[in-house]
Amino acid sequence: MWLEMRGVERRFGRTVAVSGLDLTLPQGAIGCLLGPSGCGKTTALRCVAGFEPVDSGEIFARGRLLSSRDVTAPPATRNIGMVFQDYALFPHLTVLDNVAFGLHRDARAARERRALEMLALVRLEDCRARYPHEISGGQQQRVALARALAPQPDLVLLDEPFSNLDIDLRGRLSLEVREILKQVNATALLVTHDQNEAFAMADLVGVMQNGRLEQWDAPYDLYHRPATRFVADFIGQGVFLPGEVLSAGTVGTELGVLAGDVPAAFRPGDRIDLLLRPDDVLYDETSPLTLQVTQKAFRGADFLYTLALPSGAVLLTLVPSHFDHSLGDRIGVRIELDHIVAFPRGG
Amino acid sequence: MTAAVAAPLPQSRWLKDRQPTGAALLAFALALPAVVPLLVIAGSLFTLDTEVWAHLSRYVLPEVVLNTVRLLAGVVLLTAVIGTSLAWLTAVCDFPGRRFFDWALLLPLAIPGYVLAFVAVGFLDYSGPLQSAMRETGVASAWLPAIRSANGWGVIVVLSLALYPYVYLLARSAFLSQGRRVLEAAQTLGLSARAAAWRVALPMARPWIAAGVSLVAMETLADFGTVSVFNYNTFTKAIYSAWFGMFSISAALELAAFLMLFVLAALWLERRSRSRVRYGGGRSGAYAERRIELRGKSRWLAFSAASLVFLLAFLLPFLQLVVWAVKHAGTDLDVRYVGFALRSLALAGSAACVIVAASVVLAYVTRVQAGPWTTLFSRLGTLGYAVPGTVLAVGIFVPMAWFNNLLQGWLVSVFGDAAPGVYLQGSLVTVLIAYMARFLAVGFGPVDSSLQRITRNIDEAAISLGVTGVAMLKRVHLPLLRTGIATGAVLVFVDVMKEMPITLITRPFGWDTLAVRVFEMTTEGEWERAALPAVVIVLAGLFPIVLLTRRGAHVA
Repeated sequence: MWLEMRGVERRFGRTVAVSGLDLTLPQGAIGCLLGPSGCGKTTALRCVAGFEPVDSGEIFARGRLLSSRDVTAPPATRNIGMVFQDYALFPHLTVLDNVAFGLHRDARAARERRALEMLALVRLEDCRARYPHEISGGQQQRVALARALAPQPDLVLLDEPFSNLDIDLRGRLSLEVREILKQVNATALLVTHDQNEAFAMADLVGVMQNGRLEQWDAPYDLYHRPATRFVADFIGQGVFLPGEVLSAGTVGTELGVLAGDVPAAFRPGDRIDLLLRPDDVLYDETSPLTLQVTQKAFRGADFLYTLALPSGAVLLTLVPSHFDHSLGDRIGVRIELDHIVAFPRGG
Repeated sequence: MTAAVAAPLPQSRWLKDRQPTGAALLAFALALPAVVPLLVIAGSLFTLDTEVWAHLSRYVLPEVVLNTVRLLAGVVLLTAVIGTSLAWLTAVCDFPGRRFFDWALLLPLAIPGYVLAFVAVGFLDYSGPLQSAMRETGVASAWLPAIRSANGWGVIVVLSLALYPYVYLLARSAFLSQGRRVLEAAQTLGLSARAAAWRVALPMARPWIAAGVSLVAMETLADFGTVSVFNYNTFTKAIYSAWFGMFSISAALELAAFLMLFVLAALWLERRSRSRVRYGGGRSGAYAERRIELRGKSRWLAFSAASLVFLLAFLLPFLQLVVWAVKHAGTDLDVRYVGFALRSLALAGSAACVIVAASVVLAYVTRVQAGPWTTLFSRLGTLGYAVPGTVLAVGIFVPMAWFNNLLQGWLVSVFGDAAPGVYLQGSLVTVLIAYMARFLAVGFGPVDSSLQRITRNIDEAAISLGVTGVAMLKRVHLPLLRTGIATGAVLVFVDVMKEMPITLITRPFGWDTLAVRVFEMTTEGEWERAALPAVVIVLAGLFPIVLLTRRGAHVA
């Protein structure tokens, strides 16, 4: 594995910032640590960079031990590039000199050639003679990326790379950055609190909470097979509906008996909370099951309706936007589950 | 995670290995020059010499306290009015010549109070150009109020004209940072434009104005040269006469302790108002978009007010200085002047080097090991800007003399009769230590703020690119610190050029500088002959103002 973290733990005094963190990242893959602020994701990243030591566990890159309880290889020797949240460009150097900064071992000509090559990669050759304060935030971000990539690091770390940019720019730039990283076959690990960004950028995403990595998986699996209740809640939209396992293929709920593969951990008679995503609740005018609309949010292509159940529980559903219902209307829906995602009741 | 960016450097194991172990100790050593004199002076209160005290409280203190309070009240009031109203005019309004006055009203900072003082006294004295001309044309001159009258109006006006720029500068940046929006908000709530200014803009600027006024108060308490020219007996002058006239160290110490009570009050006021200064929404250009256009009579009233202050505080005294300097250059300008200038240069230059070097060390110590101790010591070390030079000089001379005796005793015990005689208290070392105590804050400010602009992320970016240690200092820190270091050096240099009481009290025998020459000429009433050395001091003083206005232009 290109990057491997085994049981990494980092404490600040009594607070445990990161604990028991395991993850692996193959060469050329883009990984992402996702979580609310204060979940420890930035600390984990700084441990990989070597700016934080680890209190236990190990970090390896290309099989070389970088950090353990007793070893902390100096950051400068790790061959790891980093893109900082505020970019941290050197204000006294031009764009070109910023990018060439890490190439100090090369001869002057080679240094300049490589720096220009990197600027071409991020399409900023025209800005080479400008100073950081003379270019836009999006451009600064790309300069920071070019600077980090220039010395051909084994691994690139990106700390909240888009949080200082406009929403519009974020979406565009995250795809662009992914393309650039893929173009040079870089292995990267980024940190963000924005799941759209994580899903757009990363091949593997880890959801973190309170210093723990809850799940490390492809985005599709995080959404459809969340391993923990926190992941189910944090990723995407959805509601939990109380229910009871009837058999290996059926669950009893307020909406009647629902069919789908029940996770093997549950036995008939177990009381569960069943995850229902908006895409599990289909709009069906012919369905005998009708529910009252209590909230609606117009989102352009579709409406997100909130539907009330007699017990007071709610369901969410996405409906194409030409079906415009008023609050209080009853609409017909059908539940379609492929597999069941459920957690012990109240857990 | 923006909070993490501003957090102090991580106390990681990797960094800890590189921390100088005695960081706090180093900061402590650098704070000593400012702290020791204060302790010596505070200590003198506990070892009160009753005989001296009886004399002081009977014959000296009543006059000195009254004079100091009167001077303080007058100068504070006058500078607050002049500084704030001029700042309002140039920052918010528009009138003929506004762009010029915007920076020109800072020029009086280049003229030390004592220079303005002797020009004013020389000009208005009985034998001065004004009264002589009046007598020649047959106009009676006796009705003119004597500028050096005992009630102190003259010294109050002169010192206010010299010090108002402090208030002007801070009030101006307050008004500029407020922006127009708040005034407009007030007007939508039914206030007239004028009422909005009084009820919103002025109260919002109050912390800035208070900070400026408290700086003025400190400068007033510290002033020695101006009151000497006016022969107006305040604390600093009394300390100096106790020192040189009565040769009484304990009288000087006790007066210094008393003066420190006033200084602490001013310092408290300054710290309190500084902590309330918050930089507004950053819409610095907001007033510039649409200034309040003054119309009709008020246009010219504003113009006249700004012109009058500019003429009285800068242009006229400067021209008079040049005229006098030229007039006496022929007879006075001889080889001695080369000596005065070289000694000024040597003192100011070495003080600038020593103080900036100390500032760099102190700034790095507080950066590498941010903690309660280093913070405390850097605060204490930079406290000297509030302490009058006379107080510092006396407070440093006494422990230096004590240390010197110890050293001498030790030398004698080792070398016997062959021991070399040492006289530390009258050496350049003492002068430089006293300068450092007084001006460390002046050098530290720009150095520290430029160091703080090098964020932790910038350091880590360099490290992650394989550039560490000395290479990082050379390639990243030094280029980014250069401006701060240069600014600090220039500011210290000019302040030392102007400095009078510390130089007078602690200089080695024969070390007469330009400022000392000005003092000697003015004590003899040779106003015109004091102009020659003063011109050089004023010209040097123009440097930092150019720096200041340039930086102001950058910000705008």
